[in-house]
Amino acid sequence: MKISTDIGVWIGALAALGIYSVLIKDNPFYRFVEHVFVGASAGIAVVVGVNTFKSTAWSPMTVEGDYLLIIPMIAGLLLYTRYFPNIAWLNRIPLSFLMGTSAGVAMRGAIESQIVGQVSATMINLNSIDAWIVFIGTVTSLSYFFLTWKTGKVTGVTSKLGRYFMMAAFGAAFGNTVMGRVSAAIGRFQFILNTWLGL
Amino acid sequence: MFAKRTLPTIIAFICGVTVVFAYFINVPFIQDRAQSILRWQAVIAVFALGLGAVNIIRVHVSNIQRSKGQNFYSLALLITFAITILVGVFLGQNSTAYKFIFDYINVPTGSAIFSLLAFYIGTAAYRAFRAKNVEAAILLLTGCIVMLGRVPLGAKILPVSVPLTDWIMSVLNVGGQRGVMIAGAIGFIAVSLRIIVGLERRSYGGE
Repeated sequence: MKISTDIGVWIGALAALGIYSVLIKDNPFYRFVEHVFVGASAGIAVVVGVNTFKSTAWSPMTVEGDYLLIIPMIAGLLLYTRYFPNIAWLNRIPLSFLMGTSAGVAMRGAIESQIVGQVSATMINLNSIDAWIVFIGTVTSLSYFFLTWKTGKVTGVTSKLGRYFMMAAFGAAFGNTVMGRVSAAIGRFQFILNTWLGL
Repeated sequence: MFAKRTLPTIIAFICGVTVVFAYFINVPFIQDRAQSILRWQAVIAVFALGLGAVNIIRVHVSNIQRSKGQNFYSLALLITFAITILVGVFLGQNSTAYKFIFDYINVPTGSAIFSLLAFYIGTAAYRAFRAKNVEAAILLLTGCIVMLGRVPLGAKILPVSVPLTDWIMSVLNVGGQRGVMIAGAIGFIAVSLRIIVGLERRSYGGE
């Protein structure tokens, strides 16, 4: 047994132990580690944001002379008017820009990858039993979401079959999630036992 | 009234429609405007991120003030937050100090928090997984098979679990997930359309 002398390994191991200590009950050690983690993560997000600002706005404006970028910068500053009640409504302008653009981008993505991509992947190559099962699973699962009319004999059967397919998918997703989390826990235990304690 | 209610709706409409049209119509003018809008959005999003940072500071400074300096956790959060920003901005993301914070504080703690769910999900499954009807039985069965098929020990206990897991993941799972995904996308498009045409003004602070 050769305990690590690396200060970073000690911090990492103590942080992991602090997080796992909540499994016994909520305690000051856990709360301290949790707050430090939130501080570090938020700090990292801000650093990434500052660098993104430099590369997407500041440098193109000052180096390449793209002075129109002053408009989104002013719009971005308007977001902070929410702290001043008299002019708080001004933050609706950048927010509407963000929401409208995000909705447009999301719509494009949903149409392209989630509808056209999925439908075409389901419909082509129906040349095996498995492909037909996928096809039936997709159609029956979709029929479960038809809520605009009352369920009849046929739609009752298809939506029931769709529910079975969805349950199988949820079970598989659950199994995968469990295994993903367990492998992360094993990784942490290996770090504590091998890297830190040298066992 | 125009600036408070109508102008934000017009902005959301123009931005949304331009970005969507640029995907379907290959007109250079629209493509260029959409590119500019997306670029501007990235800039405004950075300021929105700063808003989050300001909120964190406000909440935790207020915690400290209310507890008359006794809130040690908020103080620890603010100190870590300030150090990370100072190190990242002034020394750079490739500096040893920044990498130290990332590799020895952020990654191990994040990974431990991520793996914490393994314990909770296990106890939750023990209580929730009851084969009371066909749906619950299917959920239980596929979950157990996938869990067994994903570990070497499971393959030893039940060798058939490995090919069965592959089949569940590539056939049953795909069939069920695709239906959910397509239905979700249709709902997503409906909500996006409501935002673009101004029926969902609450999302940007309207009534």
